[in-house]
Amino acid sequence: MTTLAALSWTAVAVFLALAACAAASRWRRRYQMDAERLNDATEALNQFQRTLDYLFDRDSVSPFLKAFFLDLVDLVPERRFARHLVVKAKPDRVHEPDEWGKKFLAELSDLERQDPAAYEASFDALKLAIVASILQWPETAEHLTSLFVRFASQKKLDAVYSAAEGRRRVQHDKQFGDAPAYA
Amino acid sequence: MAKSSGTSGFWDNLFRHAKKAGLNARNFLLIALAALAFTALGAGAPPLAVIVLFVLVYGFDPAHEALKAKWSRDAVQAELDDTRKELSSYSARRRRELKAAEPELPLQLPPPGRKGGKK
Repeated sequence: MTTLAALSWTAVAVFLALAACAAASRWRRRYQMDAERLNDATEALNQFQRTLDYLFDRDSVSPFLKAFFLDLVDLVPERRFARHLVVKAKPDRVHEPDEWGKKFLAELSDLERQDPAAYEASFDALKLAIVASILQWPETAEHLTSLFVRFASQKKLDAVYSAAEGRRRVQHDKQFGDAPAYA
Repeated sequence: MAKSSGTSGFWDNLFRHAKKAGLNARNFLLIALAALAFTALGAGAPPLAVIVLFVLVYGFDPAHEALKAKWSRDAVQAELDDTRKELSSYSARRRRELKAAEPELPLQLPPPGRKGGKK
């Protein structure tokens, strides 16, 4: 083999080795970020459960609200719910409350009057459910910041209601086979 | 800062300056492997085998690190799956309790209402 050919093959080997290293480093960073995200999701789920424990032990929290939180628990592990939250639960998509919605908001207002700590805890539970839901999936986790900016710009009750609306729509789609919430 | 002395000080200084100049261990390895590959190719070794060996030796450490990160991520994923299962059984238990306390309460929410239009 000539010197030029040996030099060329060596250059090819160096290039391929560097490319392989860059790819491996990229995969490592990706796995590390995934691990951090999943760790945060696990922590949020654990905190969500602790907050639910607190709420279920309070007599001031009505059975109606407890039933709502139990339904929420069933939806938190679902990918569709997370996708729905980031894509469809926008302020302009919040509908006027129907009969259920009015009752839900009235129950929350009553709770705020009777037991402000439990009211705050129920809001925390909802936030934790949203965070846990969104952090579980890579495509929704990247929207976490924008979602919170959106919720922060709303009034607290409107934010809670829009999340509750999102929860109901996903449940409805699941039960009645409508088009997927995320297109 | 403690003043280094003797041979260890010499090597410390040498490596500190080498690192500043971008000559870290990985780059040394790359240069050494390139020299070896060039020599092997010059001696008539098959190019494909040399390239594969080169990539395997140089890429072993990053690949090992990536694999470790993957195993760590899989462990966290398993932990999350366990938490989900635990939450699901927790929900079922609470639902039974709530149903026992409030037999007339519907535990499924009604479908979303469309009337009233958008806000």
